[in-house]
Amino acid sequence: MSATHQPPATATTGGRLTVKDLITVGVFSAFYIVAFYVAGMLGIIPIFMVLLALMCPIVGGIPFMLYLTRVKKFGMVTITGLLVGLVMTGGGHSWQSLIIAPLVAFLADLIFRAGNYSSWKHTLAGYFVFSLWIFGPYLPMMLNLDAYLAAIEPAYGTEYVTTVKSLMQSWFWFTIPVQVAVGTLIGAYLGRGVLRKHFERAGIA
Amino acid sequence: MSLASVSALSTTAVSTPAPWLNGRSGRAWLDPRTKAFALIAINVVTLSTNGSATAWTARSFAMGIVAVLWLSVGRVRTALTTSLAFAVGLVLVQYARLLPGQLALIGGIGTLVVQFIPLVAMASYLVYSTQVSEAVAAMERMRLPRAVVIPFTVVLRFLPTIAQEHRSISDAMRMRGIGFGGRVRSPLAMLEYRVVPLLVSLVRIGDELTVSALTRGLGGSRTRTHVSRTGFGWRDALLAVAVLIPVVALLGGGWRA
Repeated sequence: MSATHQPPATATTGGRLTVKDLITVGVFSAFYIVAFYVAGMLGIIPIFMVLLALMCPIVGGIPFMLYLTRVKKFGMVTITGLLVGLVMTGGGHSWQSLIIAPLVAFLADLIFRAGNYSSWKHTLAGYFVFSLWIFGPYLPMMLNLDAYLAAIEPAYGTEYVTTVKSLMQSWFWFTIPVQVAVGTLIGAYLGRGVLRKHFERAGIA
Repeated sequence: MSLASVSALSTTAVSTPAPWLNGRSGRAWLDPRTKAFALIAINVVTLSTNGSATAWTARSFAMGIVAVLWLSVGRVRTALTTSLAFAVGLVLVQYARLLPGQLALIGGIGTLVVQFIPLVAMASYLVYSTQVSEAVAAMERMRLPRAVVIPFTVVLRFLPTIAQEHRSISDAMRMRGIGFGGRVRSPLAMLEYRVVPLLVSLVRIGDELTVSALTRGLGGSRTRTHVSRTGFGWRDALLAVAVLIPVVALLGGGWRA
């Protein structure tokens, strides 16, 4: 690795990730994680809990679109996925995120690379696939709904459990990809708008 | 050179380390890898949806371990408040259903508290008690590739920075009367006003960090050496065994994801 000389000022496509790239990956991953956490806090209000899959891609849109202009190399999104999984597991999510997040991030990376990290269509598709990692936190509930409900029944009461069961039984899971898709579109377009309005002018995109 | 490149990424200056950071042998009290292992074990125990009596005992045991860890670094208050919150949660889980009508729902808050307090307390203990340079040394000894070690270190280093920058921006916005009460109507506009300045300042801090780290030799081709010593001792063995007890107890009692 020749990192002794000054790295290029603008991101270059392809090649290995340099130290500068890796630090950028860290900065944006940290920001994405915080944005996700803040959005997740709203999940305390029940309606937002159900809409979490919609909110998160919206909140993450601006940093993610800027991220894609700062580094344009294969592996960047995969590392972000791994970091998201690691920090989320430490911060109170189920460990399943640790597997799902890097996996979808790797797939997203493949899509971004197919679009040379600049095609808008590939950006939308890749961001959608990446955002699907939100399945991770839902997964334990999804796989084991009955066990989960049985466990919370003494605390929440039978009535509550029946309500949740009717809400979450089957069709709720199908709304997650739809929510992610809508959130991705809003987030990505918001991100692109902000990119043109602020970051390109400020010279950091 | 190695020390410099490590400290370029660390949050706090390494002036006078607390006794529990580096023992007499120059080694940390607990290896960061042991702490990470304990975190995963506690995650499995607390987030398991098992509702049996064994599961609640296992969670209480996990909470006890975390409380002891906080005590070991001299944070008595943290140990007490988290344990107390956990105990209140347990009481709610047990007895809230006896309350009339809708009030019984607060048992749900109890479940939340019982599941999250031990985990969050463990995660914050890990971050609090581990120096960044120590974490780097441990990760490199695990032969993790640089592509993982550097970004992960940056994430740890940046989480407090983001909070700090966010506070400054909030203050500036409040001072100028920009908020939902005033001119801002759309939540998307609010998102833009908060995120854009934050990103600009973070990108700049990141660039400075890059220059600083490169100047100090991060990214050189030579293998780096470390000042912070990592390695396993009897304390690590003790903690590893302790966190495995509730895991095994749960497995015996029919573990469910």
